[in-house]
Amino acid sequence: MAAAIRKISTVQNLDAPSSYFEKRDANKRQRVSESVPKDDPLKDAATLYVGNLSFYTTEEQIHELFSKCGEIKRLVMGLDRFSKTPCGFCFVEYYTHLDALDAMKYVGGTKLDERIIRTDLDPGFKEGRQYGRGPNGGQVRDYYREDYDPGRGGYGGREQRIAGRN
Amino acid sequence: MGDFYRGGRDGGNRRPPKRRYRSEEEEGEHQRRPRYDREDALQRLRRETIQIAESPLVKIEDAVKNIAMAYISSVFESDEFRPGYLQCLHDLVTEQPFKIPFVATIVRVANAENAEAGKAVLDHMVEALQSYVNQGLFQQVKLMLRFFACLGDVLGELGIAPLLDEMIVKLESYKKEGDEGLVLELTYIILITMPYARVSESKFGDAEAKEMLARIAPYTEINHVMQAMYDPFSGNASPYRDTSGQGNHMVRVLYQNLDSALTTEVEDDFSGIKCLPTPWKDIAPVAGTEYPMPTLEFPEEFPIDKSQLQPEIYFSVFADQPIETVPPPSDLAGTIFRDTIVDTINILDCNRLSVSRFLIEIDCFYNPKSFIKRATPYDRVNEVAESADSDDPSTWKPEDVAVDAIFSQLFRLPTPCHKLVYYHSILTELCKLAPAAIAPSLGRAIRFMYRNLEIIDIELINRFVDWFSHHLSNFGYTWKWTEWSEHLNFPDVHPKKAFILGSLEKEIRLSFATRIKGTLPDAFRELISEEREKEQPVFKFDLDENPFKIAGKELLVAVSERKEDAEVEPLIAAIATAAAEAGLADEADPRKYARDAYITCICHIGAKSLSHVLSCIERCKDKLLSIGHEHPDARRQIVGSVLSYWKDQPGIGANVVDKLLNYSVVTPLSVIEWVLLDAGPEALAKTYAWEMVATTIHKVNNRVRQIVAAKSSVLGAEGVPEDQIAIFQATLKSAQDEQAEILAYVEKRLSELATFEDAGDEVDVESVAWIQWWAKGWLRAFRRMFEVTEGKADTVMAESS
Repeated sequence: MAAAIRKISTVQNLDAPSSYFEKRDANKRQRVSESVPKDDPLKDAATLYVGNLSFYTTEEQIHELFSKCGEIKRLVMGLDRFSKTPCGFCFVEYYTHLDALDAMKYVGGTKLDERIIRTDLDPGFKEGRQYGRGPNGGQVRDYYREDYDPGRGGYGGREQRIAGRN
Repeated sequence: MGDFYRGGRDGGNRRPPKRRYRSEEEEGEHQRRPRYDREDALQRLRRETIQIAESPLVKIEDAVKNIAMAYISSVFESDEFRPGYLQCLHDLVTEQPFKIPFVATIVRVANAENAEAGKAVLDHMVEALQSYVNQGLFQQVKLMLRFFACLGDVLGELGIAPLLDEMIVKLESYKKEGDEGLVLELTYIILITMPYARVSESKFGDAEAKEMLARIAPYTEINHVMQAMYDPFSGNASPYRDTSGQGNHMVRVLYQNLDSALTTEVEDDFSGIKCLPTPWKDIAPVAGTEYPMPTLEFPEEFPIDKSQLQPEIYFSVFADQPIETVPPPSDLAGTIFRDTIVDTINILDCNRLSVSRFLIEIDCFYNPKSFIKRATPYDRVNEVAESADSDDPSTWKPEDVAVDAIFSQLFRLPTPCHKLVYYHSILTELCKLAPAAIAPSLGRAIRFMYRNLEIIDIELINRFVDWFSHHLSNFGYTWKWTEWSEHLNFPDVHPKKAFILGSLEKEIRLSFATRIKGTLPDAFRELISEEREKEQPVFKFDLDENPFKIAGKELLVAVSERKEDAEVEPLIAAIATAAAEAGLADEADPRKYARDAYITCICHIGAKSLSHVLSCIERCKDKLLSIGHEHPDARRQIVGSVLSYWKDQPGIGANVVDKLLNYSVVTPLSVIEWVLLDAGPEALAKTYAWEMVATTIHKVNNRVRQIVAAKSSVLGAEGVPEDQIAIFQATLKSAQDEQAEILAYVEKRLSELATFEDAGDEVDVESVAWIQWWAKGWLRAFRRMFEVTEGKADTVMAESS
């Protein structure tokens, strides 16, 4: 596997990170100082955020798919911060940046457990980030979701709350 | 575009999905801008140039002329824009090989219109070509030469031919022992440039081409030392109808193609050299000012690892069909298509969506007559090709040609350019883009592979299982299993039955047993045991008949409550004593049962998830390390205890062993010994057994490679202290010794299994024969992994430093 890293300019690169960290950093930067040059936190990132998982997908399944891109160092399941059960995301940490980029290119947007999953480069897992930040304990997007998704606890948290009130 | 596959259901989502930005600053800006708004002249021209030939709705003549004129009128004169556009043309040549003839036509038109504008491009390209030659970047050299070949007589009346002549002369000086790969690579580059030169607007005709071919012929007969080991098929049987490509490397195949294209008249107007597009014929008949090509300097040595240059062996999954849906190995068109498709796939791995789109549209980039209409069903191919109103008698299906090329990479030996999962992802994407066209084509490819399982290399069988299960996981696990029903009576070690069992096993690992059972016809459901559907394996000390059940449960509690070793050790010792009293313990190794109990407890505590077992191993690593040294066989037994706990889900067991290997609780040799000695000869047919050994050997080989690679950074500087050099040498020596020890063991044990006879009459005659077959196949594959050439198998080759 002598895949030298080659920069391609005539098509888009699928291993680019989303705007998630760019936005977060942009806010911070405004608060601190505009001129401080800083390193791209994702330039050596070996961790991926993996989203849109079913609540029922296990670590073993995630390992089975993502290890196709390289040996996995650590896997952290995203948990509902109240019930401590999986809430549909995880962090996959590889040993190398290159493996993480390959997973972005080859696994992001394909199916795991029959759901299209999404991947994003991540500067690294920190304690606390494994918990959902939505009002219900799960992910924010599941709180506002209006459709019925059997793999992610049925209706969104807000819909359920409204239904409960009536 | 990167966003359209993102997760979530956008139907009910009021927020638009997040946008991606691109890594480079300048392009990032371009991306965030509303599309096509406020584009400057360079950006617009860049976009139009990159899209050249993609749409059959745009007349290519108009597009080429417009681009050439825009280049001259609004970009060339601008010092700000010109460098960017020259770079764009260069990038297009090296990144999107399908478009090279069209880019060359743009340059021909520009050159005829404005000599300076043409010269600017050519100067830029020549400089790039020379730099690629110096760096030994042969793929880029090949694509640049193709661009120059397509320019035809812009370079003088014979076009690129004089340059190719110089290269042929140079070949002799590279012909050294061990450099076969390099000579073959250069020979291939010259040969694949020839058809483009031949159809270009120049005086390079059949006579000149024949003369050139005769001079290069001897070099095409060179073979790579490892060639026999790189053949995807082992044994003498050929799966192809036309056997001319079988076992040959593509350099030889290409030579034979060219030879027959130049010596035999073809009746049709789409095969051989005629498959190539010749956009310059109508648009740019005039060369304009001649640009004499400067001589290229070829260095004596290339700064690359020449051992990585390995010729590809001919491979096709469609070359045995009664209806010819891809060009046969004897047709030059097949080799031309394959070359460009494979390059496109391997260059553009950063965007599988773009690659898939190009592959669906390959008919846009060649003579349109070469292909039958897209998505023509296989059983209607002949009818459509022969129908009276059809002006294209070709039976070549564009989707088959594309799919064939992807499989050639997925099944490339020793390794493809990218991780295997990349090739999986293109096939998935193609199926999503054009299911009606691609799915039947994949079906035929799968059946070809399945039909030939008995003669395919063992490593490729495992890649096939891996791809097949992963692919199905993306499409609801639907497959017509019933067509293989008749093979269910075969013994489990028969390659066909083993393939079915392996695929189901891997499907379950990506999903879960109940789900997979639901996708299967009745007869196949029985292959999945009920134990497989349980959430956790049974803890054997929970069973009433277990003589050590009380002690075992006590140990489990102690380990799970994170008790100190002072409390755990007496419990382990108690089991050892009990085993001795029961007469079960071996005097030489009295703690065997106790160790097994301890490992079983760790597995059971860790059974919840991989993270659980990992943290449990981390917590107990000192104890694990120490019990591994209690007896020479202790570590092999640890592997056995793990796999015995996970006997119904050996994939998970293999993962746990891999983690134990990382903590050095078990050694690479102990893993391999367990698989080849303790797992039973039937294990050779199991995917988990293959994965355990292959992963372990890769780790060992990688370690040696990494140490060797670090040599210059550790010892490179002057004044490195003696002791540091000694430490480095010792580390390298021990890694190499380990590698040699493993290779020797694998050789010895697999050779025994290759002549395996069953003493106890437990295995039927047919199974014995298949076990021997697997052992021979494993041996071939692992010799290849250790880069042992055939015939040299006796001498154990450690990687030289």
